[in-house]
Amino acid sequence: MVDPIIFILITSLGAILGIKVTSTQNPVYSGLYLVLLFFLGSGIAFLLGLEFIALLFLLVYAGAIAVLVLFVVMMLDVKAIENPWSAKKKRLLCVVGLIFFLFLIAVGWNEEFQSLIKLFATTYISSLVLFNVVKYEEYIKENFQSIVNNEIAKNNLNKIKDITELEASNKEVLKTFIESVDEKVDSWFNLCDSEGLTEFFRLLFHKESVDSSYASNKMWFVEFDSSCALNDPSYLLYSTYAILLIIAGVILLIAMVGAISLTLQKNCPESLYRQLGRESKNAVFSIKEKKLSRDLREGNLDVLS
Amino acid sequence: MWLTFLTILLNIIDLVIPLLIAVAYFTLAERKIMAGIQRRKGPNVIGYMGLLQPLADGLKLFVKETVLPTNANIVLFVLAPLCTFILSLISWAVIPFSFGNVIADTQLGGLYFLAVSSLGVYGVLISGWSSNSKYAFLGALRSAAQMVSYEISMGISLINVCLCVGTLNLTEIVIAQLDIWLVFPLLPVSIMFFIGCLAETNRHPFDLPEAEAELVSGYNVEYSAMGFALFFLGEYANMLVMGALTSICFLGGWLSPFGVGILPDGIWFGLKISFFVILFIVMRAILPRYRYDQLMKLGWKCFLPLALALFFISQGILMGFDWLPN
Repeated sequence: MVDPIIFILITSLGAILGIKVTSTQNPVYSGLYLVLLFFLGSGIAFLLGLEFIALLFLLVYAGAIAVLVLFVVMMLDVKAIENPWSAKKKRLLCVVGLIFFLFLIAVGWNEEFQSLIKLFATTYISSLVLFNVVKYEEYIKENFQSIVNNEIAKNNLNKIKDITELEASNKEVLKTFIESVDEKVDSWFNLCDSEGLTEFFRLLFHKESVDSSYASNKMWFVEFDSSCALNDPSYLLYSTYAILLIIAGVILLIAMVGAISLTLQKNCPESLYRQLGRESKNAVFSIKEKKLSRDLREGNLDVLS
Repeated sequence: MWLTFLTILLNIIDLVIPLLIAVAYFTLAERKIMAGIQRRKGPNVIGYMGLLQPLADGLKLFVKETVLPTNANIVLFVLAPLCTFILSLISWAVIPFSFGNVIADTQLGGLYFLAVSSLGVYGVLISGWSSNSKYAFLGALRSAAQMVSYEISMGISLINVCLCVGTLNLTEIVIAQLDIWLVFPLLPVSIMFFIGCLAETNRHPFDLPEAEAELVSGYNVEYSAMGFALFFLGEYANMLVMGALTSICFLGGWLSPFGVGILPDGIWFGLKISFFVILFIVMRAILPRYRYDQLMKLGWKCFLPLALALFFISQGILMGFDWLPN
């Protein structure tokens, strides 16, 4: 795996670029920032070792879609766009950024905060797991249900309440709190190292089907072997994830039909078939010159020339 | 660590400097051959038979003053020629000159090539917009539309080749042609691919952005001195790399015809690139320019359906006779 620091750098850069895309006044600039964002996305895919997807991303998004977007933006000539970020919003953003920065520093200094964050992350992930529509393995449920509706945690919270009611010293409260949190977090934290995360993701993407069709013990993107980079994704796509592929195809079809039906507005000036059947052969023809009065004729000639 | 970096750097320099010299002599060849076709002499003053002319041209461009238009968007204005030049150079990374003689022998070389060449539009688009001139802008729009529309049929042709060979690695594509060059079984595809190359590099008969009578010189009107030189170098390096890709995909790269093999591999490859270069120049000299709507019609109504149809035909044949590779 790649050094997490590089990932953090890339993601923060991506966040900055995303803000830039929305906050720049010049639409062409924001389009160019979007292109940079696409580059970053393909960079992330490269770091994960997904060369095929990275290059496709570059080819499709940066090479085609963003070009079309830029094209339209340049053609439309929208120069004077209002500043999308009013002064109030900017101030708010600054304040939020400052608070976030202070918070980061505090986290760096304080271990209590760190364990708190760990707790938040655990509950968030486990709630995601619980409320997800996809059917998960029993294994994961066992792992996480105990964390989410953990009675020990409730007990501990009650204890803390009791202690606070008894007006015990602050340090003791913190200590018991930290201990209880640490216990709960430990299981999740073990998952967070690369192998545990790998296992987690593997389970997330239908453990049984992956195991039966493609016997490997890794994340889906580790399964892509770049030495036969064309065969692997297609094999996976047409065997294990065939249903997802079909669903994606249907969605694309709906999108295409939607786009066409949006352009075919009801107040179409001409009959559609007539418009499509128009060719230079039957559209350009010579007409007989009508006999008119002299000045009108001259006027016609002027128009023609 | 340092040694690896140094080796890579030397590798790249070893590729780039001969490439730039090749581009310089490409321009000389263009002028000489066109002069020959039009019964003129061409450049013949500097050096023996004008052989030092490109160096003099380069020096002239180098010592000229760089003019930055006051209303231009300076950052993008400066960035655009760099973008074009760098993109035209990095696509050479996957081109094999002989067996193993390549900077990056990646499995997805063809896809990388397509991705980089599709990014080449940005240099044109940015330069046209940032120079804040109507001529440059119209030229850039035309050029970008043309490049985007012809890229699709080119990509499908490349997929056709990849289907017959079973890989996107350029070295393996060449090795698969040991028995027969792909130009023979895939003749229509190769012709279409070459025409796509012409359109992709904005060359005659598709040089709409440079329509002198209408748009002075297209997207690079406002550029002078080194900015112009970078665009120029980028364009011609692009032409060379397109010739190289066509010869790899259809003319068997470094393989000698009928396995003669008198000359070293690299020389054969160079000869094939030169063949395409001469074809580019002759096209420019003898063909009239397309009208813009004709160009678009050709791209979308003829090339795209034809490329798709040929792709399906070759796929059907390969499936039907069970000839699919691996």
